[in-house]
Amino acid sequence: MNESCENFVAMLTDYRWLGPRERAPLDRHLAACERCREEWREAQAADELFTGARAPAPQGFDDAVMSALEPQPQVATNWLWPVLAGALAVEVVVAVALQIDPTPWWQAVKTFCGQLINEWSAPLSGWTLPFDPTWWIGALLLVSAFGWLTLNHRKTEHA
Amino acid sequence: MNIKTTAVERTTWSDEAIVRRVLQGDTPVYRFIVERYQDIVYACAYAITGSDSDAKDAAQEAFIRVYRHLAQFDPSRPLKLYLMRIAVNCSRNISGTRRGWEPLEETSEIVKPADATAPERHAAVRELVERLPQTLREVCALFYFAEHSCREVAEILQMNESAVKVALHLARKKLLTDWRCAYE
Repeated sequence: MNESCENFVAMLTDYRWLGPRERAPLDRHLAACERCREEWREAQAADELFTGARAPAPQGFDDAVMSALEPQPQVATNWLWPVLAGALAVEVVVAVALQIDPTPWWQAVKTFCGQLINEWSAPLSGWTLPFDPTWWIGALLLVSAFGWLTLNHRKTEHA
Repeated sequence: MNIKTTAVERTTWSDEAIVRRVLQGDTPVYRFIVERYQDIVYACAYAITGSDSDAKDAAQEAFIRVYRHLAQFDPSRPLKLYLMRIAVNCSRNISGTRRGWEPLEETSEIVKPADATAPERHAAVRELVERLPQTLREVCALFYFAEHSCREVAEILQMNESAVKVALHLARKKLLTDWRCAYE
């Protein structure tokens, strides 16, 4: 067997995946070379031998696999930092807005919120809490963000 | 992707689409991966382990392992190669545990039925494959049962492609010789 034959025999193995352009030189060589033709016949005989010989998976195999699977863990923490960053950004904007007091409207909101919070909190603690709406709004945003994340995490875990 | 799709539509989804869907929490869709590849995974596991129950265990373990590690899998890569590599490893583990150092070639004699039916002939071919040495058995199983190209077989078994071709050539020669001795 010469070098050219060795190359063609190597190609014979993958014959079923060769395109027409790759098969053409091989077919020409097979027509002219008896030894390679013999190899070709052996490869064809083996292909024939294996046709239909694959053992099928047992009945109910897919059910057995599916029943052994647990839900994929969902990565809820993907949302953690964006949501917290968003809450923080809103907090900063609100804080700045309240400090600047650009309009009488903001001043009125600030005063109203302060009175409301102090009226609600005073009977509970006996003390008047120092007023800073920024803290309260920030705390509210963070509690909401954590609440949303927890609910979302539970929901996706049980999906 | 629309959730309200029929089973027929789902079976036409690519592996990549199914994997992405499963990773989004749609676990039942994984069934289409199992249905798509269960026959080839089981056939390869059977060829390597030589036992129905071991093959079932190995194939099942392979599908479960792939599912568990889907988050680390790059969906743009071919799932079939990844699955077959894991299936080969699972089969090797089970086969190594159960068979120990028993030489495969001397485990049994080929039964020569006078008038073999197609299923009997197919079973005889599988038995001949089982009697091959491990590497040839794995190469044969992946090439003929899982219908992988030599390059893919080399990738799965982490071998040189030329070595796969040589192994396949040897396996083919031995199988045909044994077959002709038994049946012709």
